[in-house]
Amino acid sequence: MERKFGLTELIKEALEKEIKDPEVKELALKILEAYLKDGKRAVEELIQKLFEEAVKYDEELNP
Amino acid sequence: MTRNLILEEIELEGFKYASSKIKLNLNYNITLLLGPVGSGKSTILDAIEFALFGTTYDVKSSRILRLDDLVNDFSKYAYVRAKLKDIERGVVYEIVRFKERGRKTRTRIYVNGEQVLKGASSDTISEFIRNLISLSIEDFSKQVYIRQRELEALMYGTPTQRAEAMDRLFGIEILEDVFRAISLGKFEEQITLTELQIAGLKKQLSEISDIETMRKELVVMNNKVNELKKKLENINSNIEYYEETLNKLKKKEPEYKKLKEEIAGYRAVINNIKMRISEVKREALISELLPRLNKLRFKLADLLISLLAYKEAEKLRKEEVTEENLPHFLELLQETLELVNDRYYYIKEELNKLNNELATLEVQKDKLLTRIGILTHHIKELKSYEDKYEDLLSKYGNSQEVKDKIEEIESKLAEISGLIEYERALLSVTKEVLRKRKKTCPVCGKEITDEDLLKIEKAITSIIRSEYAKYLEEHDKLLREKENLEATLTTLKSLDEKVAEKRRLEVELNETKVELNNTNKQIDEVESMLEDLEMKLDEISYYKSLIQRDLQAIEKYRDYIKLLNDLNFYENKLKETLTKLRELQYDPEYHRYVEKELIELKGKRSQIEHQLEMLGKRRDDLNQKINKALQLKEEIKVMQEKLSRLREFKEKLMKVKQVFRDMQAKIRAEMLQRVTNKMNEIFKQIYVYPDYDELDIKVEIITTKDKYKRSIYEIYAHRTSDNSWVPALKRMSDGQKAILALSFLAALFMTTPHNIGVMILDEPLPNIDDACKEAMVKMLSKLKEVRQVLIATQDPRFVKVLEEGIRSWRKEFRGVVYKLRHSFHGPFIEVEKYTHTAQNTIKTYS
Repeated sequence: MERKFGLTELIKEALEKEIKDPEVKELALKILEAYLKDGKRAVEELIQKLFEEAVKYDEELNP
Repeated sequence: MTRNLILEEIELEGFKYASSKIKLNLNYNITLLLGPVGSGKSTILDAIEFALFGTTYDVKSSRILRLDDLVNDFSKYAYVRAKLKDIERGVVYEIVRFKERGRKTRTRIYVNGEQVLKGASSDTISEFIRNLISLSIEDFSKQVYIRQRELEALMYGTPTQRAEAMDRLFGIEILEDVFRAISLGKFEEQITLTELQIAGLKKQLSEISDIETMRKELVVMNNKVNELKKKLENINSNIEYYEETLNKLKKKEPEYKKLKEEIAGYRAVINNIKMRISEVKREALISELLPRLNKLRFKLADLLISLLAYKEAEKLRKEEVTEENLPHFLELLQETLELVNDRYYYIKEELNKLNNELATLEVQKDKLLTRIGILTHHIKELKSYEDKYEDLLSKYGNSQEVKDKIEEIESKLAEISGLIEYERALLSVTKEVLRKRKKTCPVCGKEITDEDLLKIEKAITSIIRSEYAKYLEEHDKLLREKENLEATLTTLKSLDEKVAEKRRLEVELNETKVELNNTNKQIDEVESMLEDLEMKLDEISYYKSLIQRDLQAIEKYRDYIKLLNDLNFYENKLKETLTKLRELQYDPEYHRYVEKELIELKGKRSQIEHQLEMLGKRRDDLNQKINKALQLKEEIKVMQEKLSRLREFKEKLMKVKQVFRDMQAKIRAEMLQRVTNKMNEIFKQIYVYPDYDELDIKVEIITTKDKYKRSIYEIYAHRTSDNSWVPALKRMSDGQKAILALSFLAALFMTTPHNIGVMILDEPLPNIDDACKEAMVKMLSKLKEVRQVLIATQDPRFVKVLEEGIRSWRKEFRGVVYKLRHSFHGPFIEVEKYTHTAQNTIKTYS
């Protein structure tokens, strides 16, 4: 069992416990991980990446 | 959570301000880092953080700072070593970090002096340390390493700043940061843009007719096109056939025209001939012509006889002229005429020859007469020479005789010349002999004197001279005679030639005269022959004229016959041409019909092609519209899918945001509950005055300037004097606030789970009085969870607090002060150590 520690871990634990929708949970944890790794910049980059994924089909159809 | 891990030692070199090596023993209950601004206090605290996490919170949370900035400007690398000890288990951990500019940090872990995790990845090492201390750098920076700004924000900050600081300390600022970092603006913007694009595409689509209607129209149009194409095919086939036919007809047309012209020509000629034939009075022509021809044939027979053509003359006599044999007679007459003509020209030619011959003879005669004249004249001239010659001949004889005489004289002359020479020699010899003075006479032997000699000489000379003279005279005489004879001989010779010439000319004259006579005879003969021939020619001419005259009469008949022949010829030609015309199989009517049909067909073809072109354009237009409509539909579909994705994603992000918000509230509530209780415990322990006895933290919701709703914290203190809850930060003094803040931070340190027994305070409580400082330090020293306190401060009063307080604190309590000063080589450190014993405090310096 992984040892849980610190407030950050508490937050993670709470997120995993509280969010019922698996997709939302996955996305929320992904965003949190990004933030913990490299702050707001990482979150913005992740959102940008997700945004690009959301519009990329359009670009593929209309390059 | 036991919080068993303490810091024993920190060593740093080339890290931030520490260009040279710093090694500090931290194995004390309280460590003070005392020094002015920029003396390196924070460098040492940051080194601890760097040793534990491989970075610092400042670097991690900053967009400007990088790890390389942690390396001292005058060093090539940063070296940090932290020694930690698990006091429960007695295990010593050493973490060594080595960072070169532009390179990754290298880390070594030692457990009880032995290196572990050799060659492990940085993630593995980080995981090891995190498990060891049970803290992330974010948590460490809030709950263990308390910076001045956190305390100040809590004590003096605006409600928002305080709220942010507390959220940060609770760890839920992460949730707020994440909440704010999840920007939906881009999605909303894109959704709006996509909606507008869809609306635009739908508008474009609505402007195009219905696809099904257009498709139906297209089917009808295609049927029409196929129908027209079939028609066009038939027309093209017909055009091809007619064009081929027309080409053939066009090729035949010139031939046809030519034949037609020929036929018209032949017909005109035939009509003309027939008309001329009808004009001829045949009967009269025959009755006049026949007697004349019979008469003519006898005359011609006579002529032929005279021309020695007996056979032809006989034939002509026998051939009586009738109408039946008229053509035959005409042929005969023609032959006769040709014969007569031949003879006529033959005679004429002979006549010419004779005339030429006569002319030649006349010329010859003239030449002969001229020669005779010339010869006669020369002969006459030579006659005087002949007379002179005869005279000389009679005197001297002929040339030979004169020659003989000259030879004779020459012989004499030679003889006399010899004698003369003899005499001359004799005279010379005599003189010579005498001159040589021959003394004795050869005859008598008697001496000869000069006188004798002179006499002798004279005598002899006289004799010789007389003879000599005689001979000379004789010689001259002969010489003159000779010269005379020689001149005569020359004359004779000259005259001989003249006489010979005269005689030759006389012969020639005679011969020429004979020749002249002969020529004259020949001329007479030729002239006679010429006369005969001319007579014959006249006779022939006469008969020819007769024939010609009758022939003119015949000519009319001949013309008539010719007309008949021509008529026959042209009628045949006409037949042939008509046959060719039939064989040509050319019908001008059909030609015109074909041309007309072709024009009509081409007109129809143009119409159909035009219709097809129009239909094609319309069809292309429809296809384009259908394609456009399909494309628009596809684009709309794609856009809608995109919109749906964006909305879905936005929805999801909103949920996430909401989750973070909910989580924030939840954790906040939980943390508040935990921290408030613990904070009151601590507060009651360290706040020694009776005016306030309890604290409470309440949450209120406000809306920020940038439209965010956020929670703010209000700290209330229970005032004992009137038993009321008052806003603590508005009512309390700075010292009370500091105690309140420290109580809060200590409560937070104690209520969160981790394994660190060290509390690090960077410039805490600058404005509180010594009593509060002491109380604070005392409070910290009393807390079991806080095994070590590390304080960095500019305030020297802390030393006194430490010194004073340490005496009354718990046993075996140890403290140290590291005084830091500026130097060119980084912080200069002076150490004061304090050890609490039962009786006193020992102060040592190093």
